Amino acid sequence: MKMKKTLILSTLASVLLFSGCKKDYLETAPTDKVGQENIFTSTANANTAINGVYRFMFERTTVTTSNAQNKPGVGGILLALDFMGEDLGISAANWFTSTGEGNWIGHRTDNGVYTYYVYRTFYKIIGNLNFIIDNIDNVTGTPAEIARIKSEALTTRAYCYSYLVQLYGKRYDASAKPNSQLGVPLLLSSNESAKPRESVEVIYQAIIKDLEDAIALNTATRSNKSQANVDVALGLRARVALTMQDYPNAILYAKKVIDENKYPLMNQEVYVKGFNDASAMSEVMWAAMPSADQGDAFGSWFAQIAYNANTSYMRANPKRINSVLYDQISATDVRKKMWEPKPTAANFPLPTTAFARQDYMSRKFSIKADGGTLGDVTYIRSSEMHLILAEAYAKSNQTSLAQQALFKLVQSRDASATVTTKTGADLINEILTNRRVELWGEGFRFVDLKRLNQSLNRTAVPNYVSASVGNLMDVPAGDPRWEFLIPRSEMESNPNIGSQNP
Amino acid sequence: MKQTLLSFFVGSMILTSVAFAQEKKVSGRVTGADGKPLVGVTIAVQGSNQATQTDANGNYSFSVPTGKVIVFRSVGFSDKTLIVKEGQSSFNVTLDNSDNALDEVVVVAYGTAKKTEITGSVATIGSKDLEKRTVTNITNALAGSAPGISVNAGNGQPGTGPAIRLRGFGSMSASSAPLYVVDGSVFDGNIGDINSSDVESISILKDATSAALYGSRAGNGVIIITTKKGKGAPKLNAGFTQGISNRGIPEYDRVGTMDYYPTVFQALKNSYMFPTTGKGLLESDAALKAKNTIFSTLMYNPFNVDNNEVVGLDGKMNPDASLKYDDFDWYDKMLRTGKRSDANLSVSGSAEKTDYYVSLGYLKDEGYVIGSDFERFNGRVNLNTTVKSWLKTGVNLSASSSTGSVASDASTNSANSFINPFNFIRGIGSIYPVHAWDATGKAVLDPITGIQMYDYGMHAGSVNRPSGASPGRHVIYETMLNPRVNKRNLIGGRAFAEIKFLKDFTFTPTFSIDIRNGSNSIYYNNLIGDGATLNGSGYEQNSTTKSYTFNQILSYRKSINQHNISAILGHENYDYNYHVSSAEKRGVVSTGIYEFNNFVTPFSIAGYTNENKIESYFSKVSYNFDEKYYLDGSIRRDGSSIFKKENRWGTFFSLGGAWALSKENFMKDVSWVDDLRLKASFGQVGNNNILDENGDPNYYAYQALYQLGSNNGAFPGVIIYSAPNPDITWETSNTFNIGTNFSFFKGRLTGELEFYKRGSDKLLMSVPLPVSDAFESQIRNVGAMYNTGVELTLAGDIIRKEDFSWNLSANFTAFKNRITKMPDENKVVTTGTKRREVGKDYYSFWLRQYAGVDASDGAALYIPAEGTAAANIRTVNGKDYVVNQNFAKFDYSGSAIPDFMGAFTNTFNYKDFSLSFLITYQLGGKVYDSNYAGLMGTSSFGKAYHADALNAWTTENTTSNIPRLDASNSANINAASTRWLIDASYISFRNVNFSYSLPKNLLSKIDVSSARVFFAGENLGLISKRTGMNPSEAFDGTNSSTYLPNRMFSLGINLSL
Repeated sequence: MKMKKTLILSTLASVLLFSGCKKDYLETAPTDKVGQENIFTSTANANTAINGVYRFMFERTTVTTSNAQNKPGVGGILLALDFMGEDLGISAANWFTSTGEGNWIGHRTDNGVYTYYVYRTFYKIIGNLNFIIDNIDNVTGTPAEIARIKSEALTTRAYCYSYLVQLYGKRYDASAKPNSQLGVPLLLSSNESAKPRESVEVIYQAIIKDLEDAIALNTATRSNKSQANVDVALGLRARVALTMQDYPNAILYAKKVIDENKYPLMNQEVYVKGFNDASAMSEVMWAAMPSADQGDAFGSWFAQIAYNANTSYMRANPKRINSVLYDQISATDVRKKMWEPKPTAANFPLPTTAFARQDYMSRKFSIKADGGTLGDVTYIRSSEMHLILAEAYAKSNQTSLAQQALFKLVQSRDASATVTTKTGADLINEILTNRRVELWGEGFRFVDLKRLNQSLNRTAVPNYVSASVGNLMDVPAGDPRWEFLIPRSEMESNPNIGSQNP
Repeated sequence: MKQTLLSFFVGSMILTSVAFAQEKKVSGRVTGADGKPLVGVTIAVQGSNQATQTDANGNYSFSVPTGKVIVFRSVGFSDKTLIVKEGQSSFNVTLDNSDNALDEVVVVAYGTAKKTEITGSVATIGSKDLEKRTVTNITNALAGSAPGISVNAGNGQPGTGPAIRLRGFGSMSASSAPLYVVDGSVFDGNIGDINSSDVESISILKDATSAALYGSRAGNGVIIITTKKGKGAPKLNAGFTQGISNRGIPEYDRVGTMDYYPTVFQALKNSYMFPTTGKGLLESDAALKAKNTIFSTLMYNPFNVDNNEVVGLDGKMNPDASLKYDDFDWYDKMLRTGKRSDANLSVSGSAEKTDYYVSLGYLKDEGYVIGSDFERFNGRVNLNTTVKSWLKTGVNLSASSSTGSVASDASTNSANSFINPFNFIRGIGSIYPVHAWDATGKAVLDPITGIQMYDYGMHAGSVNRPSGASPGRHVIYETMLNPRVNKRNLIGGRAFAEIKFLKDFTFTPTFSIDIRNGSNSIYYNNLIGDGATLNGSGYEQNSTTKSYTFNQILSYRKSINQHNISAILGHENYDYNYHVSSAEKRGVVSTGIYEFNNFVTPFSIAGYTNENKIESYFSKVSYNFDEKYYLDGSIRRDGSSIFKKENRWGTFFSLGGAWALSKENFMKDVSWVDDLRLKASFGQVGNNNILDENGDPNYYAYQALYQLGSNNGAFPGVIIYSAPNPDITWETSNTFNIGTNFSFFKGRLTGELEFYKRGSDKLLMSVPLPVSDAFESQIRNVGAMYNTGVELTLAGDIIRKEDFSWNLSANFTAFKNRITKMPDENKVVTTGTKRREVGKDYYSFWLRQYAGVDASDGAALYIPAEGTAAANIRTVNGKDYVVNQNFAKFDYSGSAIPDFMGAFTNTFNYKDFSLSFLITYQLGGKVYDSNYAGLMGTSSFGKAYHADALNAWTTENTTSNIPRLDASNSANINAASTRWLIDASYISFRNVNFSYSLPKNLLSKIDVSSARVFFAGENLGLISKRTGMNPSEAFDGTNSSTYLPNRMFSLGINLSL
């Protein structure tokens, strides 16, 4: 009986265990993520949020899993925009053709991956930046640090909106102010959601405001060129002014960057080194600068375009230049070395025999080091400032200033160059030809054609392979196809979005 | 037959038995329920090896020690026990039939129950059913085993199992998979680590009353796996199975080598005749241009004619062309005959106070694709002992260690990868050889080894294949060079103490732990493929999962007159901890070594820990009156770490009742009814298993988080991760079940018929936010949908003779799924080929409406979207169409959910032979066959084509129902549309088992009590609408480049001592 009693007692004791565990037993937190409340405490912590954005900009995209390999963040958009033009070609339907860029199908398929990728990439960056801009004033840290982070966020936000408005809206036309055609939703705070499409004019005003706010903060110091300082804001301000055909401001800001001479043009020795090292390339103003552990064998920018990247896109389909454009480059111009009209094993060594050699293939971009596809991706460099300056002078009929501005760039590329004597449309053409040669592969051709209201004409390119772009050979200026379609998922999930592009 | 077996068993036992002291002679007669004597009934003393058998008249006589329990046992009858007391010497015993499945005891939540007590819906699979199956992963045996279980065809990769859904689809952004419980505790390991010969039973809890005790995790049903226990006299069991396997589903019919050039010729010629912009060439000019450019696009000419003469202007193969070499069968080199060996040894038994089951298992399963195999060692000790009359304890320990090489396929996230053999080989054009050949057709040998090189563009004079033929890549060579190894070790322990007190109470604390280590390593060689650009790379991921459950259950059982009551009260803690770390290093030093020391540059290094905890209280009360009227109710309260404090606790419940109609007086006279009962239940369970966009569990959806590791060069970086929702809580699933169980004609026909409605509410849904917002989506409790269904199981002995019987069992399921609520902001959500909207089912296709071929130019016609501008309309025979896919109309186009599905099992027994086969089938439902769409596409050169391409529209074949091949307009002609939908109906010959039990007189000479040899076949054949298509690859009716299920033939032997 006694035993039984003990038994009952001990049983009851264990039943008391029913009272449960400690109060915080059910509180868990992840170890690979941190709470938002920990980010906006100090400038040191808030700084991680802006650096996270820079990483996102160069990393293989995570906004879509479809063909993510040829979507290395913002760089993938730049490559696609160039391939939508006529100066960068390939030999067969591959690379950006199957995904709808080269054949102009991707951006016109509203439920396609390409338009979603472009749209989402920029808005995801904007979303991150809005949290920074909203919270940065309340974190602990020196005013200088706060100003720096804020300036970087504003500049980067303007950069994103500048692409969104150029791709999704009808081109800005300075002769038709206000440009009331539909642009994109404008979210300037982390509290905003489901915003309607604003007019192109409103978007440009917001871009200008962000850039001028950033310029006013005037933060020049930075750890390296991966961060957007005041010079980047100035450069973008010049670029935006040129796009808006606002030549006085284009001249003002481009000249400011040039005159400060913080980004002198590269010498010819550096020029031929493969465009992969932002620190060594004096004229780079802003670039993605991944470290060795942040490379991606195939989902990186250089995997898509570096002549010696050992990827199937590059091995079988080296990127080639429009042969007409190439033939206009002077023989003494260093830029002539960026492409090889008749590559042979002797004049164009390649890593393995599995690489194809094709006429006019490029060697402009090279991987930074063997065993990878790594390199720094240029977002903006000072030679563009010279081109902006020259074009803005020429368009505002300041011919000799335009000639001089162009010469300043050309003479560093070509020791035997002379000041051009062309005027008027010929001068503008020469500037634009230099622009195409200089900025080949860097993401300008589609937006330049659209900005200049020119048509796409691939039929004039003798070495253009029509099969590589599904036979899409010409698009007239002003055609509705110059506007990207808003992703269908945005049309379906944003009740306020407004109407789709035609 | 079984009785003879037993008599030999017992006979040998008697020979070896020793005499006992203080024995008492007992005798009597054993009869069946019908009063006829039973022959060969074993009468054994529990806990000893003393035993005898009844004679031809059912009589026995036997010496037993007093005070011992004796057991009467015969196959087909329920056991009966009695205690020999002083002064008694004669016992006449009647054994009841156990044919009646309703007498079975089945494993249910936190205990066992007689099948008659169950008011809900539970299906069970016993070890006898499992014995017939030669499956490496036990979940493969579930297909067709009971109604209401949807099993996809999974994957043929050794060791993998299919996905399983019980009673339709209950969740959207939370997991729809059932909860797995192994030996009483939620199991977080891999089911493939369990040795199927250790499994005693699988219980599938389909409705709320059955599963409610698992509360917040039972929303999609529960599968309980219970391992074996020792029973009766000591027994040694040895089994060995040897099988061979090959590909279970053939490849799609593809255009062969001799038809390849003509096929591409059409694609080229058509693209010149019908360009997307501008004016096309005349047919003759287009033909000439195609003839002259075809070699430069295909780059390979394996024929003995000039490059521009392979195909004529008429598009036909040059009659003089013959092959310079014949080396185009990539599958031949990639596939092999798989081998599977399975050896098991177990010792089990029960003595007076202790039962034990000890087993060792070894399995090696080499898949039919090179570089895919699975090797596993299993060990298990299940030991239970009664220490005191009031205290029983048990320990259940298991360990398994497995190593496998994994072929890359869609399930390893490599659907479109060059290293996926099904993607690569299915997709490569039929003129591209496996090995390297020079222009004259001579084999190119490796200068060092002298062996013919593979053709991957590296030999002197080689050319790259075009982009559609995976240039510079070689799946066979790469598979040989790149080992991918998965290793897993699992240690599981279950320990309990059962303390009886006060007479009717039992208190049972149980502690369970599963610890699993996993390691995946992948090597990429420096010669070819993904590692070539990195000078080789090695990757390894190591993980540890520790999951424990501690529960304490107080139970009470009492019978007063005809009132039987039982109740349990419990408390449970569950703690899950998963840690993973991974690293990659690049630049290989010396080939053949895969350790990190053999690499130069560290690359990515990452890791994290996940935790999930649940604390619960639960109770269940069951009552029955005279085993005629049953009533039960249960309640469970769960607190989960997945939700925010305020929303953390949820209450789940069930109520059920059953009525044994056949026990009523008015049924007494209905002699053909053995048993008939009606049952109904209702309950509410939950689901907290939120998944992220990759399908991995998301334990922290309520928190506002930034993802670490988004570093920019050397600068630390974070990026916003997901939109927090502090309000989220469980999704709930309300199930109503009504059914009847019956047994007629003395068990000759048994069955179960059930109707259910399972409504899921507050569905956790990843609601898409505006694409311009900061976050892509947010998890919210917004949706609702229901599944209603009917399930029927029938089993009957069609022939029941002394030497021969034929048993047929069939099951049948039909269910409907409907979405009843969508978020206000997103009334309609389109993802992939599906659209979700109120009134539609979850797997409704939403596609462009394909409308046929324009005979004038072979263009694909689509129904125009509303409001399409007149300029984009093409009128054919007076009807409006569009040829630009952008203007095509999207519409609902059927569903992936079948109209009904089911299975048949036939079992024939003739003397010592037994034959059974299982057929599963599905009728209705659709598959979007993207593999076929891929083979019909023309967007790149060098790719493979489906044989249907030979019948496509040409200028000569204008009445074809297949649009023209067009190398530059594949985007419009082959756009995703209803053209690629096909009926998903199928019949699958899942399993056949033919066994023979060796004669006892032979076996007794070698002291073996039983021996059975068998032949088994798995996945013998599939009849579907298109060769090559696997109609049940995924529940959503899509397919991909997946390791196709295998077909396996096995021979096995089972010996018992």
